[in-house]
Amino acid sequence: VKLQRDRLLAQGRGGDLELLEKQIRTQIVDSMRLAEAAPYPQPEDIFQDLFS
Amino acid sequence: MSDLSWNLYRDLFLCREAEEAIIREYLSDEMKTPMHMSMGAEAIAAGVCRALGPQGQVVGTYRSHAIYLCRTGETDLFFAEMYGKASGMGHGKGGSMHLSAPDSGLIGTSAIVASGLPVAVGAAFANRQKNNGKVVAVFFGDGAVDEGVFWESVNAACLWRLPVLFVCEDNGLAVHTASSARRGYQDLPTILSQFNCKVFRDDTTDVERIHALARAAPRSCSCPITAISSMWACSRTSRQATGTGRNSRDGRPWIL
Repeated sequence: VKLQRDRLLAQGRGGDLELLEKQIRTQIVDSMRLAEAAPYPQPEDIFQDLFS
Repeated sequence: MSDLSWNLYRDLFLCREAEEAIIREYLSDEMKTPMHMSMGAEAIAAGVCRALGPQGQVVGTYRSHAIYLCRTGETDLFFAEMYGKASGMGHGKGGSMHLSAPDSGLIGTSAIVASGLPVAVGAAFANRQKNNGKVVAVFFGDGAVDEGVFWESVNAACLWRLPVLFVCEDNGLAVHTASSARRGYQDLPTILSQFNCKVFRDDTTDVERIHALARAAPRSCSCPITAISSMWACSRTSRQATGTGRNSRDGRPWIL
């Protein structure tokens, strides 16, 4: 990760990098919040998945 | 700056940040799945997956977060699966070790050492029968080489000259056992070069070098490819989610 980041920094894209990293961090936080709020599979769903 | 350099960094950063988030969250015990990290090996997943292109297919191991994230770029289904939720890509029943995204070319990942190898060979056989031009890449650790199915898979792929890329992530360890304590031979690439396949070897964490290798290899011959990529793999498992894991084979840091 560091190697590739340094390569891009050397190309003068520091500002773009920070924006990209912020976008990805936001994407991850949003996904984790969404996942935490989501329901667990119910026993009947698991039964259906296994035996349907 | 090339789009390739940028896209490769985006893949790497996504993988690293997603796993850092898992490590921060894991001790809350909301993620019920045993966790195996790709950290330290992201460059191999990113380089190979991007080289394959959207038409490529991939089979992974139990340590395949990076493969999933590089193939899909998405995190909603991924984290739902980590939390065991019904909205996960495996409906919350697969967990960290059993990821799949067939629409993105990720056939599947498995916790059983070396079990992905024959699946990849079968997929490559199907692709050849369909004449669809797809290449399958199968990732495995050097511990998988100790399994008989590795040699059977390589043999079948070479015999039938299937379009499959065997990608060995060689960190010199099977759990805690060094290669020298497990093998009755000195050098794996030398043995493999006796098969009807091309063997490439590199010792790098440079994603652009790995990408170039993976992109060039399938075009250089119409036969199976074996790529040996020595690497430093972070060995964090769920019990070591916030720990330091194993020592590296030569004292170098695991994560760069």
